[in-house]
Amino acid sequence: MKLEKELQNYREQNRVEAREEKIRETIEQSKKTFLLGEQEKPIHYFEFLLGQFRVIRKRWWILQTLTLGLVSVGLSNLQDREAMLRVLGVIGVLFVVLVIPEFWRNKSCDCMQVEATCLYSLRQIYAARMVLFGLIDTLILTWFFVTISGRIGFTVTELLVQFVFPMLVAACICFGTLCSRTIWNEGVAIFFCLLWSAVWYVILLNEVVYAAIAFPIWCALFGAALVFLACVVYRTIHDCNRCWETTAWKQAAKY
Amino acid sequence: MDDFLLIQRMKQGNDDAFEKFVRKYYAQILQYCRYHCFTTEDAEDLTQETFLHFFGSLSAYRHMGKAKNYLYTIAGNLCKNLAKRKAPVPVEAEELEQELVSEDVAEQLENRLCIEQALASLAPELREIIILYYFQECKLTEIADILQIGLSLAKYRLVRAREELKHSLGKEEGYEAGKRTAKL
Repeated sequence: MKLEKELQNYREQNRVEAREEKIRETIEQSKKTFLLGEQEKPIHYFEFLLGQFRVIRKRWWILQTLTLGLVSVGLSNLQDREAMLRVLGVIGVLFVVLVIPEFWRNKSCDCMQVEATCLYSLRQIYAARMVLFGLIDTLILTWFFVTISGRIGFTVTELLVQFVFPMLVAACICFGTLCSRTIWNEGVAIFFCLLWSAVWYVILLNEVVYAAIAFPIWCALFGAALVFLACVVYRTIHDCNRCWETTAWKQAAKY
Repeated sequence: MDDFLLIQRMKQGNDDAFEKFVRKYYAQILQYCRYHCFTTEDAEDLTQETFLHFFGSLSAYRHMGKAKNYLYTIAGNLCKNLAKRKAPVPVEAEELEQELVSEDVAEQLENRLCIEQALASLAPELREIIILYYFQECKLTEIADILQIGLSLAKYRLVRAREELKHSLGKEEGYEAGKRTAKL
């Protein structure tokens, strides 16, 4: 009891009054330290993705959803199964074509140099946009596949061959054009995609050619398209700095 | 306002939240630092440094319990660092007696020195328990959290610190009583 009393007395004797100017100084210094720490720390990758999501124009995703929605309604009204498959093939290409304007925006707006000066590199910006498009498009496609599989009864193999394969080839064309040595504009990519769409349509129309392609060949073509897509995506991300205005200008000056 | 809300607002850069937070804990941390420093100026500097450490890593801070405990932990570490750098300045009781006029004040100061000596004789971990429990009025669960030890160990240290402090003060009182008898 005595000890407690003595300690209590000691505590009272040692009481320190906080000085107002010191409190104010601490508050100001604390704010400065916090802001300094925030300046030095790059934002979290998830926040960066969120930022990129805000920047991307949402109209392309809306158009993609509307396209697939209309196709899913239209397919239900079609009686001919072959016609359905042809429509799917063309729509697969169109689905990818709707991604093109967003990926070419940096080039068409001449904002490469501006983006290169931000905290994240151009490579990271491209990667983030691809991740976002990949995620949202996967969601849209999943919804589309589930809807038409349930309503029309397409098998997974049919969907892979008739929809995903032409879509993959169109994606290869897009990214191949984007990362090509020559600086092309988005019109070229769209033209090649439509050309591919026409070729695919002809293949589907020609029963002899279509029937001649056996299942293992489809698998091989699908695999090859997938590998090629991975390569061009990697090249796009790796070589995106080549798309700078200055580099493009130097290249043009050489020729 | 709740610490969680204050921290969220501070992370958003709200100026009022900074002020409220610092004002809420400044006095407690200053008092705690004072028990570890020889001068009030050192304590004020350490208190400011404690808050600066806290705000320097605020964005990484995840509020799981009490922010106060985290501040005490930072302050404790800073005090340990200071103790390593600065050696104590010894003050003799006789010197103080010469300077003071009133005997009451002298006696008070003698008692204070006795407690300070008794506290200084304790092992650092036991002294820390006494400071947090008696002077800062922290609960044992809070002390366990600040010192990052188990609750049972915190209880054990408190009992041991109390016993050792009683023993030391007993010795001091014996010495003081002997000194007074000799004077008479």
